[in-house]
Amino acid sequence: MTTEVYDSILHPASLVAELKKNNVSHVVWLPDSETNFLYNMMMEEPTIDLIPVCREGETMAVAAGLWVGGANPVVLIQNTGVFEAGDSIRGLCLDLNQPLVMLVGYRGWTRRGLTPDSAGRFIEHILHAWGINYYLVETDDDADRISIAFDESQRLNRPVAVLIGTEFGA
Amino acid sequence: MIPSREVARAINYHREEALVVSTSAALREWHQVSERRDLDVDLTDCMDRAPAVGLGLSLAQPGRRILVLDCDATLRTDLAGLATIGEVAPENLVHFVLEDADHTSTDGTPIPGLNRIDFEGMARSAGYAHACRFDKLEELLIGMEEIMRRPGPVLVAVKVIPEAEQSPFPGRSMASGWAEVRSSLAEQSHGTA
Repeated sequence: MTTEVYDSILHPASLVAELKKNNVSHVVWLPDSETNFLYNMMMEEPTIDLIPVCREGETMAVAAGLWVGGANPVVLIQNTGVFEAGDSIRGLCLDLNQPLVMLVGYRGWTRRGLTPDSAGRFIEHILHAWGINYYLVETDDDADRISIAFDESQRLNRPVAVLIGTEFGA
Repeated sequence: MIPSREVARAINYHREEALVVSTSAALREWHQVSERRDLDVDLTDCMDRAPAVGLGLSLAQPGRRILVLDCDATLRTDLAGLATIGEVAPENLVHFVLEDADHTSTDGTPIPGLNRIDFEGMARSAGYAHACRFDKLEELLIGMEEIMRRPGPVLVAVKVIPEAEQSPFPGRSMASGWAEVRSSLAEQSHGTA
């Protein structure tokens, strides 16, 4: 039973392995409680630099600067941050044809489909409205969808979201 | 106060191979004098994001100076950007803030409280390595060499008076301008590899 529970979550190692596989240079993020475990592992990863910001809208702009300068960043924010970053996603990701993978913590996600959290209820509608494709990642078995997102964003020169529908496991 | 065109000329004179991120009223003056448009990242949209774009560039291009030409009104809308830059502390970033007494960016509409904001003091407390202020052209011209040499991040607040007739934004689109800079950097990178 314990093993089943352990296996049905997304472990930081799986996510970091995907970032390394796709040659990510920088993770631009707003520190939050959901990504604590990931933070510790990323800090230990010498090939990835962590860039903390104060507000999520900044993540898109910092990533845009990194991209113009030749780096390969991702952003890591919660779905609430996608709402906050809306204008920067429009003006700096979509309008500039920036290939960017956005790792988005799916606050309010539940497989039952019933959630009192408006952040969970609105996020997919918002992504649809902007024409941003997304992939849901819940467990280690889904982690390869992150590579699919990288491939798609590079091929189409567009932002692609990865919705992380679980808290990270230790 | 210093004519904003003269500020742009002084920066252009000292830029060498620096990448320049400019926005709003600063961009209107900058693109008139810049001699390296292939290294200019223009923000005609999302204008409050110039410091954050500059931060990203400074991390991707640590061997170059990154100059951000910002305005008081645009910086006011994202003051948190000062804290972000102060925390990451890129040594190659210089952040110019043009303080425009005529409120050009809002067509003369005053912004309540803008004149009370001490950007220089905010930058210092946010962790910038150095911050200074100029309101006389002669002092700016004398100070520029040291500004460009100092380890950053450096914030330079400049009291400006805009040109009598407002310059237009650049003719090239933001997307094509950014693509030009990306291409230019990639070519230079291949040339030195």
